[in-house]
Amino acid sequence: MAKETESAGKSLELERRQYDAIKKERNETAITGIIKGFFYLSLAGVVYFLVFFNANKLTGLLTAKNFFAPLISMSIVVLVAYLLGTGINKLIKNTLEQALESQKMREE
Amino acid sequence: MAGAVEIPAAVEAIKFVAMTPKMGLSLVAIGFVGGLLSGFLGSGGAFIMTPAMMSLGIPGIMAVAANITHKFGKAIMGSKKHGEFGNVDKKMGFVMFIALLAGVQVAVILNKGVFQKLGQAGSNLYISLLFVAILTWVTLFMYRDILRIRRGGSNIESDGGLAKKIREFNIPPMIHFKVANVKTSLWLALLVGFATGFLAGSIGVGGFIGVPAMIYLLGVPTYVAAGTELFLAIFSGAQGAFLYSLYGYVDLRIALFLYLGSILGVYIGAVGTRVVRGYQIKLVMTSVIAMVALSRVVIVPKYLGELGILSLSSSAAVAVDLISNVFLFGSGLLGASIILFWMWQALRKARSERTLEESVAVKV
Repeated sequence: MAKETESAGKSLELERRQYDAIKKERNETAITGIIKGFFYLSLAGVVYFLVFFNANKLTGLLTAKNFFAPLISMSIVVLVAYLLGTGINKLIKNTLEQALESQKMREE
Repeated sequence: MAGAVEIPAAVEAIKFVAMTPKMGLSLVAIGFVGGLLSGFLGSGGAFIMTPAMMSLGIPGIMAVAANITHKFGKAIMGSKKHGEFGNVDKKMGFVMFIALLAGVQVAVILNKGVFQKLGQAGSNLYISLLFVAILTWVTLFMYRDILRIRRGGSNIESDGGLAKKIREFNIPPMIHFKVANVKTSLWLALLVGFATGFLAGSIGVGGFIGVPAMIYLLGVPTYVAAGTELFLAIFSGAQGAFLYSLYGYVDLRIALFLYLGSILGVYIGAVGTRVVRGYQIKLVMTSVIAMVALSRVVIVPKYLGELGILSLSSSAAVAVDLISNVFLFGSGLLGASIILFWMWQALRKARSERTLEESVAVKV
């Protein structure tokens, strides 16, 4: 009886350690993800600064009505969408998405 | 979702707006509401974003250009996120896109014909009536389906309705869409794409038809329909962004401010599809479509007045415009509020479950 209680206690202790380890690992991954997210967001910030700092020059190029206009605007749009999207995705993945992990539903 | 873009022949003087902090913040907020609806429903950004930008004083054509340019990048990132969740059927997207382009072209030809015969007011009336007829039908259909699901029925329509009859249209070649897990006639998929394109070309909100059509006619799960619709928007967004930039209508500053809100919104919306049931997505879509349809019903007397069929005083016309805008903007705000409320509820539930788990672990 005592042996059984001891082994049950050990297994519970093991489970608790595993739980703590997983929790720690998750937190570390989350922190790395959040840092990466902020890195992408700061890169996006640099692009925003460049665009708004050179807004007059850019407006001239974008209203020139030649093929450079779509090339420039679409390249900037894709770059910004990628940087902002990746940054926000990493932040959301490691915060909101993780917090809602237990609430996932797929009934169809 | 607009399938193709027709640049107006009349050249509007390009006026670049002064970018004040208030203007910037307003654009971020507009982007967030549009992005949230797009991420959750797969469509529903453009119908509210363009008029909202116009109400800030941005010329109509530039509002459309900024919206479609920003939509291109938003759709790329939004469909990427939906793809992570297994919500995008690219094969279905490609098949539908081909037919969608044809649908848009037919609609543009028809719209031009109506415009030439009946003028601006007649064309507005035609578009509004089409809007009301189609969206009312979709609203009633979806509402009936939601009631059936809430009463405990299955998610797929099982009575002998029109949608079921169309879904059983088994003319070969049959095509299997792996992600959506449906096998359907290629002709039916093309028909849905064509109808979506026709509506996109006629009334500019093809997604309101595309998503319900994918759900009810092709039998696609609601969240896959939303993700696939967003994937389709990449192509129309690219085409629109290219054309409007070529004609010099794109103010990149507006598009960049929209991104700040819309990328955040589209990701939150996509995560939202994971924590709600399929019928809840349908419920939000139905509410938004119904209010947009109402906004068009209200405006019909104004167009009838312009055609000389109905006499309407100028103050009544202003009131009609105001009520129509209240319904239009209200639809977007209502949809966004419901989505955020459900997500907040899910978050609270998750937190309380975690607290309970942790207290049990500590006790053990």
